[in-house]
Amino acid sequence: MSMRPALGSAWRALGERRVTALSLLVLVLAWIGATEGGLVDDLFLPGPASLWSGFLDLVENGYKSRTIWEHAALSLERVLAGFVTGAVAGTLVGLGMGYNRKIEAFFSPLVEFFRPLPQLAYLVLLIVWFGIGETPQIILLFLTAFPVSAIAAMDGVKSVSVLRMQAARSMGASEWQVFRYVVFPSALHEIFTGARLAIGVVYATLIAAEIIAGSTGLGWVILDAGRFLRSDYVFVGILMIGVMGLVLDRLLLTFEHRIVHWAGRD
Amino acid sequence: MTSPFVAFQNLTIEYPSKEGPVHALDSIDLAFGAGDFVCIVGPSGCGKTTLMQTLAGFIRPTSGSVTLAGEPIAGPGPDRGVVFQQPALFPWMTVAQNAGFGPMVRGLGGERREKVEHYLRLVGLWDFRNRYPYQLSGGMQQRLAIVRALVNDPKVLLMDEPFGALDALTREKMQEELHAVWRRTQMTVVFITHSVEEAVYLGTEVVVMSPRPGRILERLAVGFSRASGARDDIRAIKASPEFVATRERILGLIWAGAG
Repeated sequence: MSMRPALGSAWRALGERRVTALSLLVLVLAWIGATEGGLVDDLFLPGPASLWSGFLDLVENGYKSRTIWEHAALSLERVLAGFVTGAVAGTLVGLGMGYNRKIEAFFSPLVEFFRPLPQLAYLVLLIVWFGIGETPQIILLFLTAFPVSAIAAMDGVKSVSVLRMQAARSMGASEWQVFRYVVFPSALHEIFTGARLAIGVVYATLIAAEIIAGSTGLGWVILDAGRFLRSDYVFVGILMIGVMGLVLDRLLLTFEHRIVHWAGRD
Repeated sequence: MTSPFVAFQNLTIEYPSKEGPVHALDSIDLAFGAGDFVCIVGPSGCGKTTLMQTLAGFIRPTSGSVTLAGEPIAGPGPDRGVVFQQPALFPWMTVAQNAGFGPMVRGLGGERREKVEHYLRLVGLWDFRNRYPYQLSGGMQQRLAIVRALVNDPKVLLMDEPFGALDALTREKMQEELHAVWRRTQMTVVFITHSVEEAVYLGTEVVVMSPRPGRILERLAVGFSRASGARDDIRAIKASPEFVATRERILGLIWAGAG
């Protein structure tokens, strides 16, 4: 394969972007064709015009006593509260589990049990314990993020290079310093991968949680609008959720590249 | 006779494995003085690395003892600088931070800054001090690994095939540089290598080990590294009849030992 440095790679990058643009274009054209052409009823798939007017309607009048931005902000707050607490706690426990066999033995039943468990299975129990409101939802999201982050951090610690640890010890580093300067940075890449996985499942769980346990948030808006057959509101809600999720993931990815700059180059 | 600087006494190392206990080293008795450049050669799996790791303090003797300046080894420490075949640098730290790691963790950061600069300049890395290790070539990375060991003023430098992953040209340059550092500092070096040529060129002592369980087959004093002052012709030394004869003799010992 011939190497065509700047120009070649610019062309290749542009090429892929065009492919992405093409894929979006096909989707949008199919959507317009299907709706404007009268192939499907507005109830099943609202066309661009009715989607736009539904969006403006939601922005101007809100949904059931709250603006659409308040609903979005409430969803975002829950995601962040559950994700941040769960990811931080999970990462701390995972670091310990990776570093020390006893800590792993202590926490692994908990982590192993919660990880594959469908979150909605115990949501009912959380509602019984904490009632309907913010508390059971945030606890649910905490429990969702926790095992994902814990396992990622544990794997990160376990894959630390023995040579690097030996090198640090041979230069006089204490156990704590080995952890602080070698083990933790080694695990950062996997911690970030875990965080991105965690925010994905937290986000998915949130929408489900709002459907069951809430009367606010984008998830609840979608469910409630669906009951009244307002497909335009449902689609606006889905699009907003999708865009928010994408932005959150890109933000994490940007942080990761900034902080773990050596990943893949070492 | 004064007590030796480094002494392995009746050292035996066994460790458990799935196939039963592995007898890595058997009754090693080896001693050498300060300023020696000891090269250890032998077939793969002969326990060379185990021997070095015991002196580094990463492995505890099953029986016997290892002492440095009369003191038994109790664990890893900055008085023994270690360089591995892989540079094992910290990619999240800059070149300068890697070089200053030892002083930093020991709370000597300020006092040792000049030393870090001195060694980085010596090996031509000072201009790269704010780069990260992945931005350096393999040879530069290994130079940095040597620098970060040297800034701790170790009593002995332990090197486990440090140039094994480098190309032939870089390898010879690194041999030259290491030799220059050793001549200047008169530091004690324990150097493990697969290359008999490298051992004969750099060492004042060459120790030949047998396949597992590792024993010492022979120990030879060699003079090539002490003899010449200006070693501007590395090729001439390596091609000289005396050098070739010594190299072939050691290779013969390894072949005979491998049976």
